[in-house]
Amino acid sequence: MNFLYAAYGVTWLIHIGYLTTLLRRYSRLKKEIAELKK
Amino acid sequence: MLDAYRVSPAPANSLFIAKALGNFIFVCVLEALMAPLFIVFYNLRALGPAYQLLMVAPLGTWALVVNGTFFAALSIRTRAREIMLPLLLFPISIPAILGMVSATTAILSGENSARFYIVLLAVYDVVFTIACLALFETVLHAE
Amino acid sequence: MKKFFPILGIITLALLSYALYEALVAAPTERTMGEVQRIFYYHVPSAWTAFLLFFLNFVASIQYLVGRKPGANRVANWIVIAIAVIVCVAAYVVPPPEGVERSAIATTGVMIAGIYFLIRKVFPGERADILAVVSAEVGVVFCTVVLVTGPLWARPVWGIWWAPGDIRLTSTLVLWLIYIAYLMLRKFSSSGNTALIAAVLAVFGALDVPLVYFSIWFFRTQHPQPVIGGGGSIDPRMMQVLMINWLAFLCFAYLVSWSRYRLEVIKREVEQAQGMQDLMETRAR
Repeated sequence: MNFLYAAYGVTWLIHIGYLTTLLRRYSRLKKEIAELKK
Repeated sequence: MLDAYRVSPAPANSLFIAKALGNFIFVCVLEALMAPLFIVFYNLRALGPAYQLLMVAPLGTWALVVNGTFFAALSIRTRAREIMLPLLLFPISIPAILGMVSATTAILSGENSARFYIVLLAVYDVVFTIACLALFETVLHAE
Repeated sequence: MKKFFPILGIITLALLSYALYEALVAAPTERTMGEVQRIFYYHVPSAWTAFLLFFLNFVASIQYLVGRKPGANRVANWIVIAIAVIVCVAAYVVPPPEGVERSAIATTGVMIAGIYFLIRKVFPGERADILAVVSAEVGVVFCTVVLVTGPLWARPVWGIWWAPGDIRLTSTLVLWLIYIAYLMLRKFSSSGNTALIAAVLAVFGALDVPLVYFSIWFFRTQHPQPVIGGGGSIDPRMMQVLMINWLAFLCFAYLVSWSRYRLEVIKREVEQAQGMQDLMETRAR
């Protein structure tokens, strides 16, 4: 039974992890755009 | 050194075939030297038809060499060159390796027929030789 | 288009929550496997989504490769149409495999050609390359989910984490490995034509997967393996839950891909601007 929750939990962990990397890349780009505008 | 090849007027395909054949002959010579050693040291005896091994060896060698030569040219323009080549080559070679090992097992143990795997290796060779010949020029002239 | 994003986000969230409820509570409990079987409602839709995304990558890569020369482009178009026609004809001439409708095969053939031309229309030129990167990345994410939830389902049900030599497992693993290699190539390439060599790798990968399938198919029929999936009819109520979950994950994949696409567009614009700035600085000196 724990396997069920583990599976669902891991699925969302992986998805949230990927979305976090996307957000991090996005904020890094925003910083670079600000640098370029200077 | 690949740049020197690029400047030469030779068509890209002949360059590829030359490299692949060179590697192929080299590895075949190595195999011809190593095979008797293996047979002696491991007391190998083929319970199945041993002549089929002579079909498996060149087909399998060509399968690895043709993709190896192609991906070597492909991974020249990468930063972690030494890691890139095996990383790229490994998944692509899996059916070839599976075929070779299974065929050799079948021949040595005599339990089942290696015919399917020999056909598989042949199909693999044909498919990827055509693919490499078609795409080598593109890869060679990539900046 | 941009204003649809938040609306779609809310719809997706609602769908995912509903689908989760259906999967965990509303769906009937399986007789032999028990509650663990519910992993099926996350495992299978993720697999279908991953395969769809990898297929999109394959199509985008081909289009990038042939799009550079108008002659090759036209040849490719005719080849795609020819394949669709052959599949449609074969669907009604050749006896179909077990349990597969003739019309399903024909429809799939037409749809594949349709997808090819649709992508050509919506993602011309460099956009095809961006689509390739996006679909590869999101595809890898979903494929990772498949490869993790699979063993988590297998362990309590069959007592083993992995069935070595099983055709579906190994093909999926190889597909995952090929696309990890694809992403690494993209990341570590120092070439100006990264898109090109990555597209070549994608084509090789696509050639490889059916060969893996057939090599393991024979391997498996030699050494009997635990029967996995397939076989037998599925409770229509379960089918409903499965489809709802698939719809939810498709919407979610669409949102993620869209975000990644926008990120990639911005990234390329920034890189171009940086290049221009460096150029002007060098000139000024």
